[in-house]
Amino acid sequence: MSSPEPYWYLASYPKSGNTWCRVFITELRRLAGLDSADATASAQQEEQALRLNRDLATGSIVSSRHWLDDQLGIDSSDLCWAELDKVRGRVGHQRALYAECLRYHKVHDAFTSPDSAGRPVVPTEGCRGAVVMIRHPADVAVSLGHFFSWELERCVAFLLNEEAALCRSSKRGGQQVRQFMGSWAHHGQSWVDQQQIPVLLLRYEDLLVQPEHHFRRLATFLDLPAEEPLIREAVANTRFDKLRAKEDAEGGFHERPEGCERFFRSGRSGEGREQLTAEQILQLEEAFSETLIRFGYALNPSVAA
Amino acid sequence: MTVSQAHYRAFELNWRSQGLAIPELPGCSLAALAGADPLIAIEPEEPDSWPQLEPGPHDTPFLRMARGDLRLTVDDIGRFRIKDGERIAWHRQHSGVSDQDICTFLLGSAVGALLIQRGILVLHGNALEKDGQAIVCMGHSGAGKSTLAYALMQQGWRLLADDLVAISPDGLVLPGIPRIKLWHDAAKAFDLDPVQLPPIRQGMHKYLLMGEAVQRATEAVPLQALYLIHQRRHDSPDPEASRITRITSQKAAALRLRNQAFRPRFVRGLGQEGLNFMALARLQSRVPLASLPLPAGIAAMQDWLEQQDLLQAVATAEGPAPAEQDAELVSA
Repeated sequence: MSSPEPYWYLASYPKSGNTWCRVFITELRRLAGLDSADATASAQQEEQALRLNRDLATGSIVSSRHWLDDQLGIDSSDLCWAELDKVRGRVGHQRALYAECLRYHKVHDAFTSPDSAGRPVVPTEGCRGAVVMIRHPADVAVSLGHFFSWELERCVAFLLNEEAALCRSSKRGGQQVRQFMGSWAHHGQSWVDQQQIPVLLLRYEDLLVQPEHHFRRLATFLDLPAEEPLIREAVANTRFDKLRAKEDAEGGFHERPEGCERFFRSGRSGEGREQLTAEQILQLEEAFSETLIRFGYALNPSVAA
Repeated sequence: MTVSQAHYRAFELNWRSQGLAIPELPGCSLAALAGADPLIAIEPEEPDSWPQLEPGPHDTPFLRMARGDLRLTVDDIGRFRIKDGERIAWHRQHSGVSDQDICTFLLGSAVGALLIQRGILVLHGNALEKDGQAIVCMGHSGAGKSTLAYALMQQGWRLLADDLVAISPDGLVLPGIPRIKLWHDAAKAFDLDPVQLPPIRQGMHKYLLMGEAVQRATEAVPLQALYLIHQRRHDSPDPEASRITRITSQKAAALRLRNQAFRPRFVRGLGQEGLNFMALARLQSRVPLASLPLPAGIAAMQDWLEQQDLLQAVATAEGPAPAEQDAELVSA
């Protein structure tokens, strides 16, 4: 049955800062001394600094088969995607199966899927809220391109695709189930407009400009310590250049896919405008104008008019 | 296809199924069942006749468990009750549910629950036999266990068990369910024609290899090595990443093995945790555990496997210092 333990979602379209937030949460918990005695002792033994590949354990991704199999009591790969989306929202929150710090679940699914019969594809019972991270779609396109080794044209088409999904093939296995996202705009709105759990909306661009202010909002939302000196230190320790240096020092970040040179690549905003063609930007802005305006992004004057 | 009654032999147990043919299980004549082994009953039953179970601490919306009694609901497909290690009752949710649908969940979950109720150690993986000795390959859903098993069968190994691996107290791997489930892409990569294969369920692109399509081992054999499979990265800068590595730390081995037990939730919910813990400890003291870094891609995997002697590799494999493996547990 559902556990009384609190849990939250870190919901985002891919390449929108989800991992950055998870790294920050891990570091904040470490600095605040919140994690288990074992984990803390072991970290102290080794070194005092944050290590990417070993310490980044904020909780399963919601699309993990390991979690679903445990909850459903069956092999989830014996169900088709449509059958799975109907039951995913009813599985219980993973009751501290491995460690107590695993309360923040990454999720790339849209809140509902065409197969979920209007119900959420994630469990909401006992959920304390969702941190919804968004990033300008033009920058997401560039980042997707590096991550998946895709041409920019394909990335733009993916963002616009109303049926887009991750792990959608029904012809091969994998450790995650299909995650329906729909278009970039649909994805963000599905989370922001749902009425079942509280939402904290964070823009990647704001995290870059005013990291202490916005990471503090994040900490407060997640019931984590949010004293200014603590936030300042956690922000300083998880700045992009530091993560990038750690990725080099540790010989690669394990969430980096095959063919992707580095996970923490640029972290900047504005790359989309530099690298996408004017036509591609126009395509995105026209298709997503309402959502872009709603989330506070400026449009080209021609589209705005 | 329905049958009034059929007999099967698997996990060194005799099974009698009523109203449901289970093509995945090795058949057996009634005369051959004359031995003293107990007979497990698989029967259809109306769930209305099942007594209520009090909610348990390990229940989920799909599972109700108490000592000796497990209820599993597979939405829109069926319900199962597994009782005292002796009986599996099943119920078809509606007439659109095929026998194959029932068999898929019955073999995957209900049989596993029944073995756990009998106090048998069940690992999640597959077991292969060569020269009268067995290896067990484990890994989470999607790690490539079935693909590996099929590749090994191409190299002369015989299949002992797939999905559920039952190990006797004296360290023998029992012959289990002799079938493999391969995804469409893996079947193609092995030059199999998916159109010719029965799907695990109607409309799914995952197929059953069984009967004459698999070479199976029929006798229980001693377990030589336990492998944890993981996909190796193409771009790993570390040549060590392609070596079979023995897990020498007792602590690391215990945790990894515990994570590979078949459905730990069933074990806890059925009150078998103590027994299971002892059985795992006994296994760990007896059989070496190593990581098996599979190269990506089926051709590369087959080439690499040909160079390995999986019966002996663990005995000669080196491992990092136990302290280093213990430190890795933070992220395990």
